[in-house]
Amino acid sequence: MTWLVSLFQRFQSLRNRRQLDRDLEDELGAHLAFKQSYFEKEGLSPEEAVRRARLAVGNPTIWKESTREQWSFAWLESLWQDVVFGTRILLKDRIFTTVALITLAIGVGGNAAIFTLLNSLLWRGLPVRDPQQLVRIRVIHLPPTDRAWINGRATAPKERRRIPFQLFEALGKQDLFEGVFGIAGEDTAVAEIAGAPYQVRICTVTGSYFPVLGVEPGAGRLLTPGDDVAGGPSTGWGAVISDAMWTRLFDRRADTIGTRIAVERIPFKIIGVAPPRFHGVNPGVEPDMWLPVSVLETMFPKSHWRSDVGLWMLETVARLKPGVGIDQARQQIVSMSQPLLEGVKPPALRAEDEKHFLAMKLDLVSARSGFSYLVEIFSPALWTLMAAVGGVLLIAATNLTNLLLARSTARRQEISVRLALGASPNRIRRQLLVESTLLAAAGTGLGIIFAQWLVDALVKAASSAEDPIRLEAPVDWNVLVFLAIVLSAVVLIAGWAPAWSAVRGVIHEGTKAHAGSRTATYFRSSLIVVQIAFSLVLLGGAGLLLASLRSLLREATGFDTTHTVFVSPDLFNAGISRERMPGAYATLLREARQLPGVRGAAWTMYVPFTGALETLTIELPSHPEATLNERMVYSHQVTDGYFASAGIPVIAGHDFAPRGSGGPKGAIVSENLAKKFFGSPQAALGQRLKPGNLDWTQIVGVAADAKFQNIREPDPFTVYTSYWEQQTTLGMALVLNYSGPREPLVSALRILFEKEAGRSPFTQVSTLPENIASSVATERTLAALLTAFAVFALVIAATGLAGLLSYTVQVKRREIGIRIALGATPGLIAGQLHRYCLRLAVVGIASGGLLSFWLRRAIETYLFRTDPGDWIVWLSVCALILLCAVGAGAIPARRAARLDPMRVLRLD
Amino acid sequence: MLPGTLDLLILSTLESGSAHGYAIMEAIWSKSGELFRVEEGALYPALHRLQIKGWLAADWGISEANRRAKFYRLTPSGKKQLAREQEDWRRIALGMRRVIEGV
Repeated sequence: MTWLVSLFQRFQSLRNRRQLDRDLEDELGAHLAFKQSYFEKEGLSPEEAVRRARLAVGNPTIWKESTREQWSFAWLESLWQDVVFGTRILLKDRIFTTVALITLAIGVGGNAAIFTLLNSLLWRGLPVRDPQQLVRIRVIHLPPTDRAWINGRATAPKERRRIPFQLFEALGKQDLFEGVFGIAGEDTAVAEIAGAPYQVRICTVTGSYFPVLGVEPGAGRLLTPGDDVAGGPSTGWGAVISDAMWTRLFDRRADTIGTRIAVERIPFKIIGVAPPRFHGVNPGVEPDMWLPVSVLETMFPKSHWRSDVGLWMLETVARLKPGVGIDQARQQIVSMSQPLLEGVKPPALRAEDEKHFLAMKLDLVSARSGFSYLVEIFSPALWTLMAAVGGVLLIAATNLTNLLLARSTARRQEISVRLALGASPNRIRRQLLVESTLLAAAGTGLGIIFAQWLVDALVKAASSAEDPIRLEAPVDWNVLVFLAIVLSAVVLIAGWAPAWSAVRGVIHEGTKAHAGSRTATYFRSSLIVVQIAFSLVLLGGAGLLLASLRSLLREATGFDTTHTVFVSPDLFNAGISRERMPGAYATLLREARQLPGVRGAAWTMYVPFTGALETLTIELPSHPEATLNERMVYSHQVTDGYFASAGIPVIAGHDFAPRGSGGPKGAIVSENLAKKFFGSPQAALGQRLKPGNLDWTQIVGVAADAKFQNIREPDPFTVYTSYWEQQTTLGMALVLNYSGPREPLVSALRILFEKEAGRSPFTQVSTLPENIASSVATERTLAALLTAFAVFALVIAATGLAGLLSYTVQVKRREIGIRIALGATPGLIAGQLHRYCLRLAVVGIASGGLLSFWLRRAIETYLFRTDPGDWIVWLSVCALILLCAVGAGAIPARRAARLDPMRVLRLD
Repeated sequence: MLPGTLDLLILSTLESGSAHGYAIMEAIWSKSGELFRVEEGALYPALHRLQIKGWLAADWGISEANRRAKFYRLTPSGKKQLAREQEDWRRIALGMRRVIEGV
């Protein structure tokens, strides 16, 4: 207990510093008085007695000091002194502090921002009951013929994330799980609320979604399995809205529950509100509304997902029973794979396809943090950025090391005075460490502010109008721990060496004049080499990404990109029923073609490069041996005039016939498909085929290849069918080939749409260059950020190099002065410095080159038609670095060449 | 003077009653037969240290010479500590004597 009492007493004394000092003063006064009266009794004169008393007591400051130390947390107080002193020193040296803070803020801020994003996508637990028990079901060991296209290269996909509805139902019956739920998807839809239309993001889920997640309603009640029945429950369809939407559209009124609304013209009743922190299980997507999955049958009457085992439509999540671990559950589900897959085997599979199908395995992975399509799209980019900002931070920290080393050399005098006055070397080291910690802490603080800005900017850059990303990226414990680690790493890298070498340098000064500075120079120049090497890697990566972006933007699409515009009106929600739709499309097409400036117009199922895609399997009587995957093609529905309007030449045969013209029926295929199966476009004409569920038909035309889903993929095999014949698509886009200004044309179209529908529909207008640009937004953002970080790194490295050279000139000024006095020309002196500078740059480039060679695989997957060894990129990067090195050396070299030998020698 | 013995000397001096710093110094000087002279630089830090440990308490009072001075006295836990240290010291002294003088 004694230590507790003494702790308390010490704290008391901390509060009463003044009182303690006065007491000590009084105690000393009394003591001196006693001593003095003792000497007076001995017979000394009062003056002599005072003198002797003072002499006997000695230096009162020392014992007052040591007495005071008893009372206080001495180390705490001297630490406080160090902090105050350090702050004063840093405030005095404004330029140094500003440069150090800016470099650190950018270095730390970049790291904090990228880490925060990674954290919210990958590691943050969902705000639901026991998120660690949630697992996502996936299918692995896919048939070898499965293909996915990444950046124009065919790769074997690793997993299927969705499963057929029947497999989902079978899984729900397994007693391995406490419960299973499925998500059909998120989409933009039109909701009519109190008579006004709103675009909202809907998420269609099975009725088990909320119960299995274990989410409590914010108001009302949440969806249950009873709400999710074919045709809807007897009380009508129910919808759950998000807390944000409750605030935005309903002012959080209690009578929101029970409000009748319509979504895609289907009547719904709002039954409840999700809790505020719950945004679904896909970070980055915050749905406004959750609807039961059964409503999709009402929305799309022709889809048969409940019975069609070929439709892999549900993303599936299961909750493990308490006490069941993931590994244990995985083993069980893998062993159950074959019987489960047997139940959802597509009919009439060829023997080989069937073998591959049954060889697939069910698997599960943790869904603790949810699962986001964003992870797949952005996490590789984020990891690249994380590595880049890590490099930047390393450069910033080593640069700080260099700055501090240079400063400690400059502060040699101050340090030697303090040592002479009795400060212990450890005290000085500690003080220097406190200084660098202060810098690092302040830099981290600024970095956090910068990080918040960067997170917002990144999320905004990655969002598009059709796919807004709403991501909650809070600073949580993970982020704080990360920041603490970054901070200590910076202090360790930047603070340690200068603190040690400063004191050692001074202590050794007396014995070895300037000898210590030689190792310091070696150390500092190796730091510069490291910085140049990292700059080279970053610049090279940025350059490759820019080259890749350029080839993406230059990639031929097959379309006429300059004279086309795509206009998509949402006529269905504006009041035109399914039955009236074909007639409305025909009328509008006729009217649009008569508008001034329109050279051609047609309806199309897709606006190119917005990501929409529908595939189907064709049956070719001429090729019974073709595998399922070979027969999988893109399906595209268009009207007559599409190829002329889009600028895609029809190579053989002819275009579709206009509506009701009685012309020949049939399908048009892409050139690559015609060549693959029939040898030539001409040979394809007249061949019979059956596209998916559609009727048997024959090929009437062959169109040139065109990409429309993704600019990165090779030209897709495509089967075009006529909308006038099939009429399976509801929402179409109008493609117009026009001349003259665009705005009046679009306004004229809007008037036509309103006249036809009776109400102005939501209408999106876009051009191909716009769509291509927004489809490469991720690449663009990544390239821009990497370039910015790389340039920043290069600037730091260049200033570091300039600093090192000035320091060298400063240290060697005697030698240089003597050489000038002995007749060395200014050119000789400057040349030597330049050579030194270039030598560092070349060593840096060489080590950076080795590092890049080692890292080349990491970037290869992000490159589109660009070789990681692209010599133009690397040559330009090397030239840029050499140029910067020469530039950095210019001022110190000039100063060295102009040294006045007499002044230098006299000064020393 | 052996290290660690100053505390014992101070506590022993205060066993008979309260005293101020100067008086404690004088008492140690005279009681030790003018063998031990405690420096001010050691005495005052020690007094304050013992006070922090809770073995001494201090009050401001008026000295015999009519001066304001700080008087230290033993607290109950100080008395216990003194007994402990006296016991320890006796054992050390006994052991030392046995070893050195072969008693």
